[in-house]
Amino acid sequence: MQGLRFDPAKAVTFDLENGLVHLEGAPARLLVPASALGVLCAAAGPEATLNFGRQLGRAMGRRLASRLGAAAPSAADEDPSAGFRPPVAAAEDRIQGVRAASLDTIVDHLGGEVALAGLGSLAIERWGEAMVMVLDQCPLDAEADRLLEGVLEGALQAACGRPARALCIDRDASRARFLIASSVALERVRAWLAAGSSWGEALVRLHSPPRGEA
Amino acid sequence: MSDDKRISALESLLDRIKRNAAEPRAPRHPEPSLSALSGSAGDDVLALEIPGASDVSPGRYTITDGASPRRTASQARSVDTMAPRPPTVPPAKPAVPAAARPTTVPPPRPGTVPPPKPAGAPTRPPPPLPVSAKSVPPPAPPALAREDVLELDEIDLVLDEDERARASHTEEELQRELSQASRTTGRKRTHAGEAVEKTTAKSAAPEKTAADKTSTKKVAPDKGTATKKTATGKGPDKAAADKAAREKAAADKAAADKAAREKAAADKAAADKAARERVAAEKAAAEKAAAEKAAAEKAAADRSAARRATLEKAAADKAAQEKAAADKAAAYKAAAEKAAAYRAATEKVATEKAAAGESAAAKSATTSTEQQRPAETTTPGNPSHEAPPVSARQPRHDLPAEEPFPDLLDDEEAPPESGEVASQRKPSSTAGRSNALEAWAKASPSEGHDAALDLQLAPELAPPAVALPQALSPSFPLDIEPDIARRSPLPQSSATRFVEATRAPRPPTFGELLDLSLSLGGHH
Repeated sequence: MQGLRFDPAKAVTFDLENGLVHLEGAPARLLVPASALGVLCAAAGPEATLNFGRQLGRAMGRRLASRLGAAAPSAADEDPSAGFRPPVAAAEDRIQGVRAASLDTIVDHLGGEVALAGLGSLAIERWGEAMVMVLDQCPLDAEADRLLEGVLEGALQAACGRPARALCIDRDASRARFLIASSVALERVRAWLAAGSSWGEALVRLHSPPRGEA
Repeated sequence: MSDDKRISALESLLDRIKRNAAEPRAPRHPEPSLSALSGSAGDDVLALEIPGASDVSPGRYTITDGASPRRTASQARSVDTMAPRPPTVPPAKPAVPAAARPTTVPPPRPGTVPPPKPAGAPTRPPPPLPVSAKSVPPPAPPALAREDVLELDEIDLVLDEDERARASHTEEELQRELSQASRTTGRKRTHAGEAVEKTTAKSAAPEKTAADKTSTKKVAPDKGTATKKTATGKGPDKAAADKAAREKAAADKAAADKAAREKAAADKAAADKAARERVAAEKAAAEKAAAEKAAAEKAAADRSAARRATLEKAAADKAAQEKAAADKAAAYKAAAEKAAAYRAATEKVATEKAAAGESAAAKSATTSTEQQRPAETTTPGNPSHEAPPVSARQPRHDLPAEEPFPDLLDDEEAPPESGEVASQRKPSSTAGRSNALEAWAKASPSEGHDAALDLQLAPELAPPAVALPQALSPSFPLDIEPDIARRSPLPQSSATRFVEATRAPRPPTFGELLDLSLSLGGHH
């Protein structure tokens, strides 16, 4: 699985005759200006934008799981006598494949999905035990941060089977950092950031045991 | 003009006609003679024959083309006239009746000679000479002349000056037209088979043009005169001239095309030949290079084999020399060891000899002392001699010089120098030991023998070994230089190799990292 690289060949199909755009056989999608999408997200509100982003991210996560899960040896492969495996078990195999993948593989494949969506270049940073996802060259502005958070949350949940949350902790013109943590941790970090702490301090404090200050 | 003059003129003319008729006629051929044809409305024809072209002069003309003795003016005009109008020359004196109608026969255009045929062009049979060629005698059928004479008899001719001038003018025109007609006819006859192909006409153009040129030269004065006088026949002349020009242009073009084709063919052939030669040269060069390369490789292989054989021979020689040197050194070493052993044995023998001498002296002293006191003789041979110790009776066997005490060198101790302790003396050889044992057995106490009997049974002592003089001892050159083969120094490299052993934790998977991140911040 370490040698499995993301292959974007013929990932996007422009059906010019019918005026449709397909992504790896998925239903038709749209090419929308980033600024228009940002305006739409701002008008729709945080919750709607977050849900919209999660929908986008789940599709990415499913493709990621199917790709890495197919490459990883499943239980059926290890035990042929098990016979037919239900879809739930197959999905579990795919999730295990994603979890067993290395960080570089995840960055490669999830970054490829994000790039195909036009959301920028993905990188993953590790600050201690905290995982921070970075989107470089992101065409969306701060109005669409909730959309990006939803995309990452949906992708991780669909790919790894765990309810992960994302929070934008750093933002500039073309780069955005998203902390991947639990809901409780995100609330605490959000409170620290609102109190004026930097995102670095928040990450440091996140590693300390809770003392009930939240 | 009076009637007498007319009659006289007619008579003179008649006489001349008769004279001409009496002359032999040339065969029917496109004659070079000048012809004039005149008539009124094409019905009346006046034929006046001139003997030769050289006799052409104003007023003396011959009307004949050899084919149609009687030709009307219209028929004469129907002749293909291709040549342009001749240059204008001063008018000549007319000698043709005024009733003659002017007919223009343009001479061949000067300067229309086609370009010369190329050298490689196929040779064609020369076409018949044109009408105005000098080499052909002028034909003049006698019957025609007679008919003309008869016709002249019936015509009322009035030859005044005006009519003469006009006739002359007409004769010039007729002469020109007839010349062109004759030339055209001749050309048609000549090139009947070639008229279909333009290239044939082109090949015939030079000759035609040359002939035309000759004709032009011949008739040039009269032509010029007639041309100037006969301006009325300009239309047909122009058409003929245009046609002649077109033909000439076509002939020129065909000739140029043919020349170009031939030149192109020649160039192509030359290029092909050059290409073949170049290919052949390249092939030969390649073969030569390959042969040279093969020869060079063979020579290099031979040199390499010779060098290898030389090296092998040198190595074999060196190995043989080394082996010989080693054998020689081993021989020297063995000889040295042998000499040392021999020297040591010699010294030992000398030492023992000295010890034996001292012992003998002591024994003799003791014997003399005992001989002085009375003693019981136990032996019949020596009743008064005390038995020597056993060791003294033991035989001594000096080893030969070639084997200096081999057993002594191995495991036997050297006997004491004093020799007084007889029990410590041991036989130095098995033979001696066996003899000693036999003597001991014979002298055993069970038989009642004493030591004195044993002395008699003991073998005689060997003569003392005489040390060889130093000059006779084997001497070997001991100044041998060692041939030491030392181990070559070790190369500067690491003699040890350490197997790297790293102990690192397994890289965490993405799931583990995600779990760690999600576990931050307390409960979740």
